[in-house]
Amino acid sequence: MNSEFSRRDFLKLAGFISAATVLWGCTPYSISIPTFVPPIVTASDEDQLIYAVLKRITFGPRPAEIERVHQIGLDAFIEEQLAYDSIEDNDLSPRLADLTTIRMSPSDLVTLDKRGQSVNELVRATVLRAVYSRRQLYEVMVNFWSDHFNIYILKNRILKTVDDRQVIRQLALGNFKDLLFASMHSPAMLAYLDNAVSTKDRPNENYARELLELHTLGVDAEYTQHDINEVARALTGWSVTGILTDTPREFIFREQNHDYDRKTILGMYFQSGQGIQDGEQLADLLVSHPSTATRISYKLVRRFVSDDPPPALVSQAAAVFQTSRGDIRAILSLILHSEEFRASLGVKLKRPFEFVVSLLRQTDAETTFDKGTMFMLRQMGQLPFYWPAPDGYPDVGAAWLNSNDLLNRWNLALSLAANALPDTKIDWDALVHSITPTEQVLDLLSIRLLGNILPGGTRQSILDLISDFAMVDPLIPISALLVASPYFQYR
Amino acid sequence: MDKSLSRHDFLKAALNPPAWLQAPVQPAQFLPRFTIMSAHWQKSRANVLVCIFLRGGMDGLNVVIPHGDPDYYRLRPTLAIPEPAPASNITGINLDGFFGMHPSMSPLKEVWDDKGLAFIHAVGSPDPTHSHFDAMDYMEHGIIGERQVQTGWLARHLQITANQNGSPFRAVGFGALLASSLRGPVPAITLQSIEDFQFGGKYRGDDAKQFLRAMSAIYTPDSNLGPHADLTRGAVQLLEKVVTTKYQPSQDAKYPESEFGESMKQVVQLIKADVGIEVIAVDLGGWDTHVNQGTVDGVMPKLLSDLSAGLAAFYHDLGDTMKRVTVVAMSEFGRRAGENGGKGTDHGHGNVMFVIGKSVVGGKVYGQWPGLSAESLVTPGDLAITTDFRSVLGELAVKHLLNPALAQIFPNFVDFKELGIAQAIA
Repeated sequence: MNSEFSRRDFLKLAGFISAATVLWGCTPYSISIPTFVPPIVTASDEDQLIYAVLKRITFGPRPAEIERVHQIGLDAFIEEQLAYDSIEDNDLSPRLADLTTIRMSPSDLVTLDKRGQSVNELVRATVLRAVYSRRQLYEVMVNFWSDHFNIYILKNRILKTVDDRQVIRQLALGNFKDLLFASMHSPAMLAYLDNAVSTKDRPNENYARELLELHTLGVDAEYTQHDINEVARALTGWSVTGILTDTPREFIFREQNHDYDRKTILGMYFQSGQGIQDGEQLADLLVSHPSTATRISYKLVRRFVSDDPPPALVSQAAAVFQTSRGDIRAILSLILHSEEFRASLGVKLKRPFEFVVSLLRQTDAETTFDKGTMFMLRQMGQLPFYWPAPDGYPDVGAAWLNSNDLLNRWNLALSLAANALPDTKIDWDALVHSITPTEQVLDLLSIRLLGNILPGGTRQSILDLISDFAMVDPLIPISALLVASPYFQYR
Repeated sequence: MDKSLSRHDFLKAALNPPAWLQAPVQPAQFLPRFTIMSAHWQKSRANVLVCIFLRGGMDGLNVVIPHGDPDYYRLRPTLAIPEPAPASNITGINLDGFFGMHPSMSPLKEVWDDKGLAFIHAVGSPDPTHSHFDAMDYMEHGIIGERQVQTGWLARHLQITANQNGSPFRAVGFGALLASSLRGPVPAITLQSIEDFQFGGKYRGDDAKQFLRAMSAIYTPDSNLGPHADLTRGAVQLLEKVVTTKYQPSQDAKYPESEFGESMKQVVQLIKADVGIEVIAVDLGGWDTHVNQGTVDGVMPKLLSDLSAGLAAFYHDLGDTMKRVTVVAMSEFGRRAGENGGKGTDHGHGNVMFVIGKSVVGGKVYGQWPGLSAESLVTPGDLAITTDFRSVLGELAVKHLLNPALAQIFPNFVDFKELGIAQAIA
């Protein structure tokens, strides 16, 4: 092999081989995400901390939130965000006014001319809310539970709209028991995972399996195929009106399809003769099972702290889950005040949804999230409710870190810097208060988008490169480079 | 627990900048990292393996149908495919007098007759799990029973033979996320389509080049993102140079108009562009047919039609090049032998794999058929496994990818059985 640039050279240049690493050793080399280091501090320490925390509990820090934290302090701000319904959200409603299907009842949705309309509007509403709502922590939790209780919107186009409203958004910061109960009754879920057509003679185990594996206990927990069969039996009859005529509407318990015989699930006896109570007893059993507490806590810690959730924090959160029977606010409060949370700021890779929303938020963008930006998010692979499998979008950086994702982020950065997308407008000039000296523009935008000015070397590189661009307005390349920079990819 | 966040806390949280961040970063220089001349690719690295993952658990029993097994018809009163009959397109297509192919797979009949298509039946993973996620995990990582595995089996192959191919296009995964089989500390491109894999939008030309150069400056090699940024940049630049005109498939190749068809067409383009491609991962999902699976019409037959047309078009389009290109298709598990109450099937165990190529000993259904009697099925009513999927993949790795290090590609795998599905590529 006599290529000038051999594989080894490539790896060296790419940083895979360093003094400390033996690549061809016996153990597989693993990429670990290094601690992300914020640039040399010139913004005040306190502002740095505020900015970093806001990146975790909101979809992107805006001046309004930073100002609010200055007024009442970080702790009070977190409490305020947890008590989300006390936060007024008047600016948001006009932006959702045209999206009429999101408020429609099941009977109205069923008569829609084009069911695709409800898909389009729900996806758009979801992003618009994430961008513009002042109830940011609530929106983060809506996103979390939408992944946890994932439903692929294209399987039954109209039902997810109702599930989003009545299950996820109703209970995202409530109690897990209520949330699980609501999900079990959700026509969207029962249709998606085929429970709606499960009968006593031939029970369908699809939902039963995922209820245990994904929604509650987790695949590591001690349950068997037999348990899954018994759960399927317990849930026979949990169905949806109109399911067989493609006019699905409401939850209905079909007695004639239910298996009334006795069951044993996870060692617990379910006496014969129970109708819908079988499922209700099951819900209680699952919520109070320690594996559920651990599983939910693990996922919450992963979302808020680290792709590698610290076991001690997971245990503490699980303990709170158990004693409070799933009080989501209490668990979050524990996590957000933990040492581990504080120590982990800045190292989580933004998933495409978080990248796009933070970009729109932090640039004060005016968007209808329609053709342009929606297409880009779809290309990146994280359009809301488009994940076909019930496990929901992956929540670790390693899953998203690839060439398709990076290239699309770079392209979106450039498109929005140049205001080249029809559905979104960013007034970059206003963001820098119309000043023109390049260095000041760069620093101002850096502080806005990244929380601080760039490290000296990178800053100088960019300044040197800007002058080579043919574009008349240096604001475009500066904006694009900052958004495309590695610093903007982390939260 | 409820203490305020103090300055003290911040200082604990503040991370000290490492030396590299404080040192000035050199401005990027555009380095021609990847040379395109095909003479550089060593002949042994000219062989290509395309891995198609059929996600959801494909129902192998209705793909390669055991017409000769009477239990099949007993277990599937509504879903069974009728026995082959002359001049009928709604029965199985006879393969060897015992097995038949689903009628939707008619595009592959020619490939079968050409001896370019082999099936392996009753194949799969020894782990009995019915969880999609675990089963896919084990199959793509190639290590059964462990969940913390960091590398896919294909990634391990790439690692072992890393010195033999320096192309950024050595490994390509189609889709938005990279298939787990390709994940590891090896450069693997993820792309949705060749057309979209470019930078700049309306800013092509000099400004786009400037941007890419700027990306080098700010995506430093040390950071976790550096290598990925490098790879992305290199791939975009290479692709620009080699893919310039609209692709024209050869006349016999009729690709289906679907995402899968499009992906297979793009794979062909990348192979013909001679960019050093070696390993490709393509997904086709939707196989989780719990309800209303369809017999000769319906959900699953449509998928089979798409799959078969795509594979056949690929085979015809590449022609003689198929002597050094092999396609293997697999699914995380098969489905329950008996149909369920929803005219569908639940998760099962033993399944079918396809292997296609001109260096494949095709025209045969491999594997020992365990039967579908109550005694032969494994709890709770699944087709048993008589061949480990790693025997299939392993034989292809050794004979086609020319990587003899089976023990490293599939650690802990001791039951390797050479089926004879592959001819060594000269």
